Amino acid sequence: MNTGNKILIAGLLGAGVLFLLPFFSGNGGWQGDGIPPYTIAEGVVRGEIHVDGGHGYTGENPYLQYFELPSGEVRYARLYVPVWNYDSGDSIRVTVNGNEIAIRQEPDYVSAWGIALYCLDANTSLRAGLNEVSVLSENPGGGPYGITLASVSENSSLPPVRFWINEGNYALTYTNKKDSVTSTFKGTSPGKNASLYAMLVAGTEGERDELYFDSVNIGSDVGSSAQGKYFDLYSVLVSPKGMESTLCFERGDEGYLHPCVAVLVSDSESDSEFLKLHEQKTAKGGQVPLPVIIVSLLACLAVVLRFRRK
Amino acid sequence: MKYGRIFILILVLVLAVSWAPGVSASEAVSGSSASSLGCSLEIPLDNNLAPDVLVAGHSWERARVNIENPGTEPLYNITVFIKVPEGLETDLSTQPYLITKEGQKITAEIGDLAPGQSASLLLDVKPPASIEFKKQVAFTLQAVYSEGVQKSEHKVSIIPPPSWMTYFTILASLLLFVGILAAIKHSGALDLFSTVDLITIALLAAVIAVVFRYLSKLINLGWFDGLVIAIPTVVLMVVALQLVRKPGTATLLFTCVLLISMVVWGSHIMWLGFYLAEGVVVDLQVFLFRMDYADRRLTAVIYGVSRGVVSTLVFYMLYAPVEWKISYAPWYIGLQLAFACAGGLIGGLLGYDTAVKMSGARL
Repeated sequence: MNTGNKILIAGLLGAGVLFLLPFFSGNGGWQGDGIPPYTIAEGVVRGEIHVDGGHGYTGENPYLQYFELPSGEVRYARLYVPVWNYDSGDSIRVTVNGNEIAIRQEPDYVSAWGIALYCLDANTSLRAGLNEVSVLSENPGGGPYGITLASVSENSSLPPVRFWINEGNYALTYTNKKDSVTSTFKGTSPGKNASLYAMLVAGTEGERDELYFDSVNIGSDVGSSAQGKYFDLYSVLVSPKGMESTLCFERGDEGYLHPCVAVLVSDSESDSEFLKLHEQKTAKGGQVPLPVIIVSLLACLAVVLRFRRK
Repeated sequence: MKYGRIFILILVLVLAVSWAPGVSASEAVSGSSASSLGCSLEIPLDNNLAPDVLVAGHSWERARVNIENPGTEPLYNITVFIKVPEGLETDLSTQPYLITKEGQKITAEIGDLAPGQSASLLLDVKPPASIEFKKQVAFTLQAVYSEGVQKSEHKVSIIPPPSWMTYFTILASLLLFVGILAAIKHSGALDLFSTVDLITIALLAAVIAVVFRYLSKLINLGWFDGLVIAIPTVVLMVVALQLVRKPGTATLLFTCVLLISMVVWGSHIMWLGFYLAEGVVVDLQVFLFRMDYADRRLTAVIYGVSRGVVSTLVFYMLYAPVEWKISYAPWYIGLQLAFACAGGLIGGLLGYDTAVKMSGARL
């Protein structure tokens, strides 16, 4: 077999490996647009909804965040750990008050070039008062953007509140040319006072984005790294306009913006308490971008043509 | 035999990485041993970043004050007073100690520390939006406890915001680009490139910009990720030099890489200077070696290594502070430089063999 044929076979084998690689390596490369934040939990409870978090990408390992929870029993709690530069094989180890609650490799949601969101139920590990959450990450060149907690604490001396906890991870970027994404809250009460919390990552100060609630502008440059590098937990008072409220994130000038969590807490019209947990959605696996396929085919064609000519 | 050498080189790199400082978890700097209370400050907390350096215009950076009782007797009623330098904004997050802020003064009540016990305070520090020149400021740490008082200073450098450098970099890149275009037009160098040459360059650039960049995210080799893209990039650069054999081939190749990246991945024009630098340095060497288009194994390796050195230095010393306003630790830059040289060496050797086979004749 002459050298030309050897290289031709090597080129074709290389092309084959290229197309098979994504199937073997799991999530990798461009990991899709992600999932817009959707309701994972909602309900009515006598008590308080606590949403807090921080503190941006710092490169510290383990990554520490403290949460001061209000009095009462923690009925539901969801910890959110957004991570920069997730690749297959990376992992996080989450400890709450010194007790390990999870070692996770696969994130719950991942989008763009590996911006991941881990979501963990932490009802039984958290307590009223001060709580320490620690995340030890195995992620060269990456790590947590922050830790955010959305918790529901029962306290019968307080009036009932209606809440919605929405989670996801959607890539608003110039790369995928996605400029806006919405997240809905079903069953809102028009005219009631409500508090809205939105956690976004990858936002940059000075790159102006917009946030709308029921078509009313409630914030500009919300993704401004206000709580730390590339981490924002924005809170604002809102008033629902109808029975279904829509939160709209507009990318504006931001290069990258990932809305991950949105929590709405409003006065409740009803006294009957309930907690409804929705099924978690899974994102579609990473797809090989079209330009990669086209260029690979062209390169293979060029190699074939070159050696056929010889 | 040569693959055996490449294997040995990779092995040496693996060992170098495992011995590099900062790869393993670093210990907190302990305080003065003369005192019975250790009190020190760490900023930033990322081991890969230069210690005690903040880049103005950057967002919040986390700092940790470590208080330790290294003695054999317990220490009681410890209160730590921290005086934050003017111009630095601070924020205090929830933490296990009562901590208050009044202007630039922070007071933290630690309480008692048993022998060997330690405590950590967390501060979020934001450097000023801009300063004219690099300056050094000092945090004053004063720990008061029943048995005595300890006072220390912790100096931190603030590097000027590189915003002016951003504009300068973009302007210089554009001027260089325009200058190169003018020189090419004046000398008629572009006419030297045949249609086949231009298609070859465009195709190789597309493979680097689209396929290699995509593949680099599929492979997770931790510290060796840089090699994943450096080796094949150098291979294709050497192939381009040998196949096209025209002055300015490398510059045109890397300029095309950026242009394709801008279209496909949305890369910023600001990176033009980065791509031009690695192309220009190779083309200059082609002239220096009397129009040697990587025709020898040695020149292929030299081009690969110098491209790696220039791109690494330009990235870590200029673009990282400019684009992300972070200052990498010297050891980390050195490590990346070693990887870049290894990538250039391996890529140069493989590229030479590939190019010779592709061009169909050993020169």
